[in-house]
Amino acid sequence: MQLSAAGLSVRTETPDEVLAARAAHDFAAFEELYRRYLAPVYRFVRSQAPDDATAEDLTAHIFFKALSSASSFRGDGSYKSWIFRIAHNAIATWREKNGRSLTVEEVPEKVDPAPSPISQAIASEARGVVWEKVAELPEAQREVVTLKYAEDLNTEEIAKITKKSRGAVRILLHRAKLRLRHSLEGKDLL
Amino acid sequence: VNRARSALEHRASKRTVFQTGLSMAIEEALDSMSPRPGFASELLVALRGTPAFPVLIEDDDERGMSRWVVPGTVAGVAGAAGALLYGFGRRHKRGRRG
Repeated sequence: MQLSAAGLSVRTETPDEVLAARAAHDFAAFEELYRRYLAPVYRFVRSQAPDDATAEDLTAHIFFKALSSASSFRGDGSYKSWIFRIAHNAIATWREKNGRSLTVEEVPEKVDPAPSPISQAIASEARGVVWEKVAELPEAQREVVTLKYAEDLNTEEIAKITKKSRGAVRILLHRAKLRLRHSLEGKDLL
Repeated sequence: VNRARSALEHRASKRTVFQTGLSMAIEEALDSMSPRPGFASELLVALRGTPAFPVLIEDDDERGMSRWVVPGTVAGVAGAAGALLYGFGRRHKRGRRG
């Protein structure tokens, strides 16, 4: 819907859940959801994956699954929670099949339109240090930290996605923050 | 008493500043991860050719997750085929590059 007043254009987005209800038979609706969630899903997967190639493979799998299971979305929760649940399951299955933990081996590259090369280098270094410390967290802590800080999900949503109790999610977040606080103290980044 | 209270307040405010800084630093570090240019359009093309209808597919241990097929998942046959073809194409390209 597009409203126009005094030369200003206000665009209201179709809610995710409306698009999700159409996604099984309307590719345009799915495509809009894909545009909204590709980056967040990739970011979440990449934070749990050892390298970019694995993150791409898992992300592709998640969207093929989201498309082929589109008709199973019942709308009793948000689409965001639904697709992150698929992502959580895909990562868990990957871990089981590969019989190993997804230790993050390399810092993802960032193409950042920062103003100066120096500030870009400093920002990038700081990000790299924080990312390294996040990557060193145990899997369960890393997962809840990513969902909380990168995806802005609340405790209840995180609990649903990760199939944990709200209390367990709070404890994981608390422990992760303590650990990060301890490892980042004295690094002059905060 | 005042000194003790002031020390406590100082510590509390330091902790708040740290927590805020920590939240922002984590947010920024995670936000900096984005898919490589071209990935979104490649995957969209592969998805576009995929009709959506749920059926059960069997997993093949030989291919494993490297072919993006997860055991026990409900996925469209065409969707799975799309993922397989897309994955094969990408690996083939990667192989030629590397």
